[in-house]
Amino acid sequence: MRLSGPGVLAIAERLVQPSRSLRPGRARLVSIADRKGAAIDRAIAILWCAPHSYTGEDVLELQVHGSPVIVREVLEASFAAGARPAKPGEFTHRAFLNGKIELSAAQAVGDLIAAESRASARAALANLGGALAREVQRLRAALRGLLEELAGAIDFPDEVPDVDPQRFDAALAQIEAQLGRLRATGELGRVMREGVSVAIVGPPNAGKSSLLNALLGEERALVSEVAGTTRDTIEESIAIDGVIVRLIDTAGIRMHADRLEAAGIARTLRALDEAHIALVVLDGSLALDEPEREVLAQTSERERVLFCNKADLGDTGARELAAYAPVVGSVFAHETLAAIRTAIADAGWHGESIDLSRPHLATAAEIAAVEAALEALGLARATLAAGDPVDLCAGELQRAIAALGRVSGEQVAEEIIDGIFARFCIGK
Amino acid sequence: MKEDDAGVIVVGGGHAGIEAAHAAARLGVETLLVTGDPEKICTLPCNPSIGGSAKGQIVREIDALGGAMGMLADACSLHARFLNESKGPAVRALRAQMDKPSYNRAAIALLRGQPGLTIVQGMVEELIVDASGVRGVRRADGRCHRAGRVVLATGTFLGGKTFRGDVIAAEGRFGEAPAIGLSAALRALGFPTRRLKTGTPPRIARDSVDRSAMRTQLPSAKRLRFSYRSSLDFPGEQLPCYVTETNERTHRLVRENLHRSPLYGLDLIRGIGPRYCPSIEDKVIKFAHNPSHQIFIEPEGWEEPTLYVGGFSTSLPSDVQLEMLHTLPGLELCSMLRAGYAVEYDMVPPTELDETLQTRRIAGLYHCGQLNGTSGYEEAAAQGIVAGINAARAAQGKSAIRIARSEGYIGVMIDDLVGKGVDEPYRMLSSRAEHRLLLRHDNADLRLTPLGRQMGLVDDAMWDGFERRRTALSQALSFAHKERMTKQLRRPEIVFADVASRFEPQLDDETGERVAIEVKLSGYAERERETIERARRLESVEIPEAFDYAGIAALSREAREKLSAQRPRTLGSAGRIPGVTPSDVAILSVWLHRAAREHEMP
Repeated sequence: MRLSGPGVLAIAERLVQPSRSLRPGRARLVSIADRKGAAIDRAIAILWCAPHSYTGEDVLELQVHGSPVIVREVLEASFAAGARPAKPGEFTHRAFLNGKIELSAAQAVGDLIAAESRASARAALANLGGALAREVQRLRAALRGLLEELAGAIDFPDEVPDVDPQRFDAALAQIEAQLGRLRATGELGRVMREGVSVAIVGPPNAGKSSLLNALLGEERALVSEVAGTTRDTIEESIAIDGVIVRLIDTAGIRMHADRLEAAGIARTLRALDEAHIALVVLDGSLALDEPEREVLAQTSERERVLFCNKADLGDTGARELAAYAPVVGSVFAHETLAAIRTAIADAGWHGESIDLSRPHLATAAEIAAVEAALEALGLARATLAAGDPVDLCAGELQRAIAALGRVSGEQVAEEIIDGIFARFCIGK
Repeated sequence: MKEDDAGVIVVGGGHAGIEAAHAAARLGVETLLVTGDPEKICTLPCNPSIGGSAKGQIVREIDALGGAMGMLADACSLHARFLNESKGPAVRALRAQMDKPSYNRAAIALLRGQPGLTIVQGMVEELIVDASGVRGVRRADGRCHRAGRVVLATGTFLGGKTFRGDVIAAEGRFGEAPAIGLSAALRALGFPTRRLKTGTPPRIARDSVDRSAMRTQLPSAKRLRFSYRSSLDFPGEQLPCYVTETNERTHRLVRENLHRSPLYGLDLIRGIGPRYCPSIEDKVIKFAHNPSHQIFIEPEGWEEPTLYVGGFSTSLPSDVQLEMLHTLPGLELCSMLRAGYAVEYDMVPPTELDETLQTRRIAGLYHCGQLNGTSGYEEAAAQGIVAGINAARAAQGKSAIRIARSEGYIGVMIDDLVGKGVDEPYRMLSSRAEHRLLLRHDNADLRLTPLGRQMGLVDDAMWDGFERRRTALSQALSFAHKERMTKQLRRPEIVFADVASRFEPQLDDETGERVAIEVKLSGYAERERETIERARRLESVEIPEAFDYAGIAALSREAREKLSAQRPRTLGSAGRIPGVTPSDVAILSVWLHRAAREHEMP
């Protein structure tokens, strides 16, 4: 738990006993007192004085015991002593405003705070180390080298030879392919950071709730309870391969349209619509009826996991579903649950083993930058393919380099000019 | 006396000075041009060419505003050609070689014929300044001229010093006295000065070279003009230029004599030279792996006895220069009429100026040309016309003009200068212009003639010509759309001539070419305009003059220093300062937002 700001020292005097024992940068065993001075908990307290702290302000760090009751009491005691709850991301925002972190580092820190699972925590750490920035810089430098040739020939036609369009295009194609691979990591990065959502749909009594409970049971140690957004959809989280998977149970909502309230249908459809994956649960012991076929049709165009439940009771429906390659089995069998988890991993992140030491795009800004660069690069190559004069290609390349600069924060024109002078002997 | 009562005083008779004086007088303000030698106005002391990549566009822009350079160049052109013809309309640029004596005569005639403009001989030593700003100038002979607006266009004359080996002379340029007092006077007023260096190559006797041993560059057979106002006839015979190259013998001479170089061995020169115009010493040392360097042999006039040895700028002693020249194919027996030299001079950082080219320190004082750390005739002239217009308008109590980066290379240059300052002599390059697809040779009139007209620089005849062109162009464009010719015209291999017969009425070649360019680039131009619109939003966020950057710890130290020193007017120009990152701009935007809110709710 951290407190930050100019009032920290005053708050510490009331909150921490003995407050005189606090020394900047030193860990001290103290007791935390409530507003009446009664001890709530023994804790480790570390004081960081401005500007030598994470936020650049005075910071008091308290390591208390993990019980939610104690945490709440310590929080209340600090509010009583003059603190207020931080807004989301406020610590990082203050650190940023006080010059303690760069914007891109701030984004990575933001991701770190938001990371709820091991995988996304590791992902955030990898990019914090600058692997992404280095990779983007490398591709950007390669593009810059090419633009220097082009711009040099334009500004110094007497001295710098014209570029050979074929060789130039081959070099562009190579960079385009590498940028393309980087973009592909963007979706993976998003999955690792934000996880995937799975809407469990199917007719009543198909076993949706038992499936949810069984999956939760297997992963009990990693479950974090999140309150459902509405009374009739329940959202629970599990981790698969270290990725957060939010299971949205539409239990209580029956798919038989003729017997449904309109509002109920709308909610289910919305949950289905917003989820990344549809987990369709059908009763394998029965023949398929019309509403079930409708669910199958509705989800045919999207990432879908089909689970044919109760197949141990008979296979009337299972035979009919065989064409859809469903997971067949019972929620009570470990191997069935393992197969469902694998199917979710396949649908959510194509079962790719997530190599977090490799650079990958993690934030929307990074993905947008690489996409803008790819778009410009594609247009640049199109101008060459069409036989357009090179002034158009130069313009697109400048845009691509500028777009990648958004990730690393540099300016294009001066760099290009510097590069031209460093590479070509120019001057009349 | 009349001379003591001008509205605008311009100091210096180079390209910057004459555009400033010409524009100010044309706007109806009594103008005084003070120069060391009224016979040496615009002598083109370095290379004999006007225009080139990006520079050609600048000349077109000056002309579109109603300035002089384009017409002067057209009247003296002995070799003109388009550069980058195959590289696309956006970077196509006109360059012309000048008959230097004609240029000088034409410039003097233009100024003498301009009502309201008086030329006075004198070296300005001091500025007369009071609490309200500049009041006039004091000459070396003690005479004073009074005016509320003074434009300094002193070129390389401030503290000018030339170098040929260990021979150092106090000169503004070849054989002319420098301005020593004015440099000290500017420092006394608080202006910082810095030393820059440039150089010029030797001149050789025209009748002493073997042309057959060199590659020939032919001029265009067609009359090419910067200005629509110029005659359609060639002003005289069109002459070829020649190309030769250095070899290992040349390079060995450079290396063996490096100890006699004022820059390398003698270490006499402190000024920073331009990278795009390196001396032959620089080329040989810094590009040691190049077995040879191209050297351009250019005439300096129809009757001039000299040839300019382009690419051979040097400050080595005269005897070494001659020996080096004799190693070049075609120049084995040449005689050298004048040795090359390096010149070092004082500049005042252009970050001292606002976007109108007025100094922030002293109201009514304007700086333009090489004094601001630029190099090149075209760059100087462009600043001259802007400074002249703004000085004259200020004298009339009118608002200053600003040319945006998306409206002209002139705008790019001035924004670069006042926003970022210079580390070396600044030359315009197409790479500097992010909107270069819009800043073309062909559309300079569309971009700037309306502004020139509004200012009063464009007379009725020029305006009528412009309106006729504009109307013809827009009619032809709608015709092309109506007849569904645009798709065909967009194909790279299609030129106007392929579709010319389909146009009604028939178009002249130039209008036809402009139609083809407009159509071919329309998609790009549209996107460019969207980018400009986005940038304009950043541009519209003004930073208060007294904004305290030091108080924002979040800014990087470098950004804090640069911003405090340069005080950009808007968030947009802040973002273009080197060392100011997008993060810094984001932080600034947060703080500006906060400051504005606090201001609203005290």
